[in-house]
Amino acid sequence: MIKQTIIPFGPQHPVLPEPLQLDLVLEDEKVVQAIPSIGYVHRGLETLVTRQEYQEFVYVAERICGICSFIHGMGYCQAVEEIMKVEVPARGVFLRTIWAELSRIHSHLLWLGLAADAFGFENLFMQAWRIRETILDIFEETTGGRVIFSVCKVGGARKDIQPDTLVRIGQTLEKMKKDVKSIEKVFLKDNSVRHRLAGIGILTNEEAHSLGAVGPVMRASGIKVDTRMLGYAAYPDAEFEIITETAGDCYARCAVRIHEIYQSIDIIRQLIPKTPDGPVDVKVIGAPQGESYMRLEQPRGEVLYYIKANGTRLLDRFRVRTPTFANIPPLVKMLKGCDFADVPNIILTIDPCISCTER
Amino acid sequence: MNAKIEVRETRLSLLIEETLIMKDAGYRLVQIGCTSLAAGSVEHANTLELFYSYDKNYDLVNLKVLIGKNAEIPSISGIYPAAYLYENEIHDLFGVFIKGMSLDFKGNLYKTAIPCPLNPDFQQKMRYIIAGFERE
Repeated sequence: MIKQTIIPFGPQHPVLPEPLQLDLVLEDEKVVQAIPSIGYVHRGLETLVTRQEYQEFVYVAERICGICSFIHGMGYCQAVEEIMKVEVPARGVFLRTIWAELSRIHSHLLWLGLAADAFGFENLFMQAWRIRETILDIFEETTGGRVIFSVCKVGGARKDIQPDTLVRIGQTLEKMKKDVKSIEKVFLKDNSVRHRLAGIGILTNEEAHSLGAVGPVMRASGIKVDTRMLGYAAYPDAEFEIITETAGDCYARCAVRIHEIYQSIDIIRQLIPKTPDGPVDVKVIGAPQGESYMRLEQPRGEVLYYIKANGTRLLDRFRVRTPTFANIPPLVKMLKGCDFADVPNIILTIDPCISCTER
Repeated sequence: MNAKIEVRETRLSLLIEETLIMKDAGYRLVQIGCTSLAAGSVEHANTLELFYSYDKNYDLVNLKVLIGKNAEIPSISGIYPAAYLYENEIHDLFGVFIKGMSLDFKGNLYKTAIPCPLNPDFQQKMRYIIAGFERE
């Protein structure tokens, strides 16, 4: 019998932007088991809902994560609005959707950069992040922030975007497409990149379903599920198809994310001319009572918000099931049987966000 | 798309049976959550509400189970392998004892400053601390 070695991977590791630990049981260079450990950045944000007034809690919800902060705020607001039967003005809904899709582009570009860095392609990392700067500039111009925007509120949006700025955003994104094309060629066609990604960390269709995978991880295994199809926000006004791949490996997950960048650009392009005039918010008075289950599509996958309200300005419960939390069991499965050298790449292809996971 | 959101209440004794029905019907486990009902009423001062969410074709089904003080619930990780992570989370944050988890972190998934911070019942916290030591 081959001697087994246990190697702790993380919590601090060059490929991990946030702390996650995996105890890897190895037989020679093969991983036979991976045991995940989290709990290094648990902040107890869900508990704060019992101490922060429900309209102010949007700021806390946005701070669950620095990458998908806008969608966290939006999901929380939508859940409260559903309980209170608040009708958000159409312009507010459209602007929220545009910011959400910009967040998806920025998140996927950030991930592409990190992935390139993980497989040792420094120049590609720099190119991906250079393109991402364009999106951050748009955020700065339209919201005043580059990471946390604080433009979402219960009842709509805090800021409007001028029509000419919206048109300019559309033009900027069209130009950006060319830049994305240039890195897409390297990610999907370059032999050395393909060698590091193709056939590595395979998650089959059945495994993705039984282990509860979400988002690009699930879609790369051929499961056609995208929560945007539920028709929340302004998505019913845009036409788009769910992007899937079938191989279920690291390469497929990378391809899904690249194609989703184009998809998001296309959704924004469709929404800009349809954005109606009018106010961006309504005044919300009173306090919520009841419960709500709200599902949205984060860049990393399906997120679920549960809110229980008691008719006061403090909520009883706020629960978030984030995509990375759901993708940890599939990650453990992907790691089983892989080479030790492929572990960093496989971990990165679930696009782990530990701040989200632990809240 | 008109996706349904259904909330179904069930009893603890029927949990495994209901979970098997969901599995056989092809539902995906979305999450397991827990809420303390202490703020709602005196009657439910020591009651926790577990909700198991499942998805199929975008329809969301939530199975709700009310559990009382000192209840020990069966793990569904034998049916849905991914459940162990949610169950460990509920164990660490609410102090709920879950029997038969496929991977038991023994209270070390979250390293919180105070035990089971989301459970308002002090006695349950004490039980958690004492039992935690016993288990170690």
